[in-house]
Amino acid sequence: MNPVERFLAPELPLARVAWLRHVIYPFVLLDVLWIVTDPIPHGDVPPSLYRGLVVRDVLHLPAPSHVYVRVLLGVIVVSALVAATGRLPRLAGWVCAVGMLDWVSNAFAYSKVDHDHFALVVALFVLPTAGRARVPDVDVRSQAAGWAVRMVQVGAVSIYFLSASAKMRFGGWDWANGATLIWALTRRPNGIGPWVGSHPALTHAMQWIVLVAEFCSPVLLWLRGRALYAALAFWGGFHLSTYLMLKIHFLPLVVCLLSFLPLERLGPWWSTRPRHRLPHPARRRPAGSARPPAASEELSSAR
Amino acid sequence: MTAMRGRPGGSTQRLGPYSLLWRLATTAVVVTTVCLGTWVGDDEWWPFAPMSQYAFSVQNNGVINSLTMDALTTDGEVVRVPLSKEMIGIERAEIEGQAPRIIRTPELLQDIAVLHHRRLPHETPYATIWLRNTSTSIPTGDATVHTLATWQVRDPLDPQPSGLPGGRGSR
Repeated sequence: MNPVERFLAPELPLARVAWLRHVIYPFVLLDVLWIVTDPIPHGDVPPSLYRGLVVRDVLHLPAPSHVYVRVLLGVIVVSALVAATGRLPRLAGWVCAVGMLDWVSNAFAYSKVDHDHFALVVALFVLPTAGRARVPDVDVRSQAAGWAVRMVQVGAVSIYFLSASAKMRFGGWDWANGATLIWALTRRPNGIGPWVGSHPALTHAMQWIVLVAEFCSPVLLWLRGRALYAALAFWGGFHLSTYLMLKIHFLPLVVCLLSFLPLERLGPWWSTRPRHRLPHPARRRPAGSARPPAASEELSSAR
Repeated sequence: MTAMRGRPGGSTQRLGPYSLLWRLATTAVVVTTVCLGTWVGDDEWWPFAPMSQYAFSVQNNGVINSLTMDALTTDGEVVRVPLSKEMIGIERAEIEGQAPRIIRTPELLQDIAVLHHRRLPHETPYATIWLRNTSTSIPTGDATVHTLATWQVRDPLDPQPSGLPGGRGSR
């Protein structure tokens, strides 16, 4: 493999795609039923307040109506449930992807656009391309799986890196020394938010940390082992803190960060943990026999 | 599409040249488009729109603007219009995004009365609706309220949509 192919389509266990499906499709249910619920009330909004998006015009998606959004919700829920089981990965996955594109673009077609869904939309469109994948497929490495996982990772990193770029475009190079966080804490006070907002030096320090971390985020694509886990822990802490201070969680992005983790190790770990093994004498090895290597132990990196 | 290759303890599924080519091309298109979206695009490019939440700058000695909507009900009471997806069905941020349109065409507030009638029929109807902005000084905390648009609702007890065009082509 040449370096580009090795980087963008690495050979990764199909099991990671299977695990991602088991996480991301249930998250879609959470998303449409709890997080992005705007499309249902948007079905009652008169068309004059509908602004549309290029993608909706290109796909000829109509302005939402009372019935349309409810039918769409049903389609997404059914397709996500099927896809979450790993059955019909392409058909259910594509239906869910197109349905979510309609759903989320509906939510953003009224002049308020969030950027927390980019990686999730990418994930929904690439996961079906890996085809059939099962949790026990730990030792089946696939470039199709590797490309799908890589695209989700690239989608997540794009959000961070381009957030920093956007700050320079719209806020200017002095963004980190400004009062944007104070502005946000004033409008959406929560928990310790007001206390943080009363310390401008602290808000400036936090803005600098976020800006530098966002610009450095592409290194996530090269980090391995503990360094990668530390970086993921930092971003997890960042999203937790924005939730505690502002009630902004970015969960659609957080769930995509799981693509960086060696999820395929969960299956072997679960089947070999002591509580699971001991009650079954048939699974015990004869004394003195060499322990067979766990299926995924050869995966030295978290990628 | 894929070639199977044996490996001690497992197997490897390699992509064929065309399967690999379209994937790499897709990556290039997606990455290029999302970068262009943030560097030169606007919100209409979603899902490739600028990653611009909280990207604007607020001066330390500046003001914080916050839009609100108030209404005079048919009972003569002034109430705050509950701008949220759970209540009236449209959020304050969405109204803020459309504020220039509303200021230019206050008749759009007729559709707020329609939405209120549809979503909260048990509440007293709106007779007049105001779009207002509260400017709060960061250093002093002093707040000033300005009315940006006013609309006398047509037929408050059974308001009908304005019929104004929506979509990307509308102003």
